[in-house]
Amino acid sequence: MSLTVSSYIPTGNATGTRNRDQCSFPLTAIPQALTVYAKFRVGNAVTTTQLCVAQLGSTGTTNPRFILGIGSTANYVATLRNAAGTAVASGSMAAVTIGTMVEMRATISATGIVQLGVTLNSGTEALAAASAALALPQTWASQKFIVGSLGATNVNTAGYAALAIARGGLSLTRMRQIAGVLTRNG
Amino acid sequence: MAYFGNAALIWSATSDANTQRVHQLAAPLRLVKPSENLLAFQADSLDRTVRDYWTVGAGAYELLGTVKYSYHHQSLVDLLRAGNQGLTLTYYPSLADSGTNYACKLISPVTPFDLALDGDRERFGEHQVELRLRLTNQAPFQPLMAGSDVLFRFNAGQSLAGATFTRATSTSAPATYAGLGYGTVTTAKSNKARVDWISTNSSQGPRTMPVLLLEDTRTNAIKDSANFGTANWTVAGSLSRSSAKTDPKGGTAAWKLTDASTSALGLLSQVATVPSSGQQALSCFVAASTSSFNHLLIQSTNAGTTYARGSITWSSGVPTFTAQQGKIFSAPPRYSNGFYRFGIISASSAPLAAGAKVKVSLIPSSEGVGGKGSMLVYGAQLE
Repeated sequence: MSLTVSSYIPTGNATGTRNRDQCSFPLTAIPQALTVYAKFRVGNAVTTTQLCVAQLGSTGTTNPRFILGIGSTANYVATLRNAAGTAVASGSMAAVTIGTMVEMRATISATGIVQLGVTLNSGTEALAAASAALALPQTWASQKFIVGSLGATNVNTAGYAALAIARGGLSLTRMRQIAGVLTRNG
Repeated sequence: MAYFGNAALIWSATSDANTQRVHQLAAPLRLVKPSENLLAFQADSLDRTVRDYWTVGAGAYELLGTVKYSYHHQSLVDLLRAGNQGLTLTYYPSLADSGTNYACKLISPVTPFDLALDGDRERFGEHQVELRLRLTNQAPFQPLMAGSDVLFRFNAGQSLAGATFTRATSTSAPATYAGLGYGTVTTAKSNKARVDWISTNSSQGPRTMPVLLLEDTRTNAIKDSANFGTANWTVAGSLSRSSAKTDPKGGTAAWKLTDASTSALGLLSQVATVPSSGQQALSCFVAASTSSFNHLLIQSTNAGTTYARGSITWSSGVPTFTAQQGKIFSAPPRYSNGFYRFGIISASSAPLAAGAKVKVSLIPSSEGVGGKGSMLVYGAQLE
């Protein structure tokens, strides 16, 4: 099934398969009050499966972790899961449209309250309702920050312009400064 | 209480009465300078046409950083003495992140040493000293050494040296991306992340913003996707085809499809096997030629059922793409040499089973026997 047109795959006298891209970064920061920011161009339509925009603390589905996703319960959603799998989430029903430049800014407070802000095409940020509190875990499942998938699954086809994580609950303006996107158009 | 941040250097000494020693820094290491230390010899040949290099082992990465505003003078002296005794000094850029720390050996200053009065705070009797630190595994220091509140940042195009990236691709079906400007189609080597270029203004370009392109696994079910002259393609009606046309890759691999007759519909088609169940996406690079109307179709093999039908209308070289059957999710992006990439998704009401056969057609004229004209095509894809 394909709900989007992916990049061109040249073929010869046979069909051809391009394997998925998998990308993760080392990140040693422990669970704390922080802000995760991702700016990307949407490459797929919303699906019933939650696609991973970026995930802090795990390269798969092992908890604890903090995931920014598209689809499933809300069009855009930020979810904090503790070791037992208990989750708190903040979701936005902002439109998922292929080609849209999206900025997701998700905060975790010191008491484990999650709140997501979504900005479409550099417009006004729409803040979703904050979640209930959830005690922060002492460690993440792994010291990784994975982008665009949960490894082999939940792949979010997208072009990522900038990513940033910082301590504390920071504003969109500040996260844009940290990510270095203010000087770029779009 | 620190002036700035919450950084510290920690070590353990059996000679000390404490379980461990903690030197809390008034500020994280300042004037930080990543460094390397490799025993190397270089020499020019006599005529200077050749330069020779000799190195011993892999060397070690190091970090130069200055302890500033130190008001715990004896603690700082003890730190330097411990370092000179070969003890491991562990640097925490922020004690808020216990997981982010660097176990180091002190390379300099070597005893005997003197603390300098701080250049900014000497009148307050504060001191400074520059440390040369080397990780115990000689590896590079990671970016969090700065001790700021920024835990991570990445912009498309920056180094992925510290990251883990994989995308195994074969040379027979490489991954592609669009280049800077109007998007020359370019192939990427296996396990090389693609820095794709997009336009932030409109689909018309030019492309000015780099993005890290991450995609799912996909199979192009069309054989000879850019070679429209092989037996994998079937000519119908009055269609003729000619090769060696300028393509969006910067070469001459595009084809011209011409329907010269108004009495018969000319089209080029291929029967393809659907790679996975559900909706299917058809795409093709198309540039304007003599016809004002082109069409892309996914149909059943007997053309009895149409799953997707996209119509291209050209006006002054600018296309309008409409879906008569199926769905278009975005305006066609522009590529080099006048090409646009048109993509259409088959209707959700008629999902296809994996392994089903479909007929993909490229039609250079209006869909009917009354039209004629030509279109330039490159790189068809069914996924």
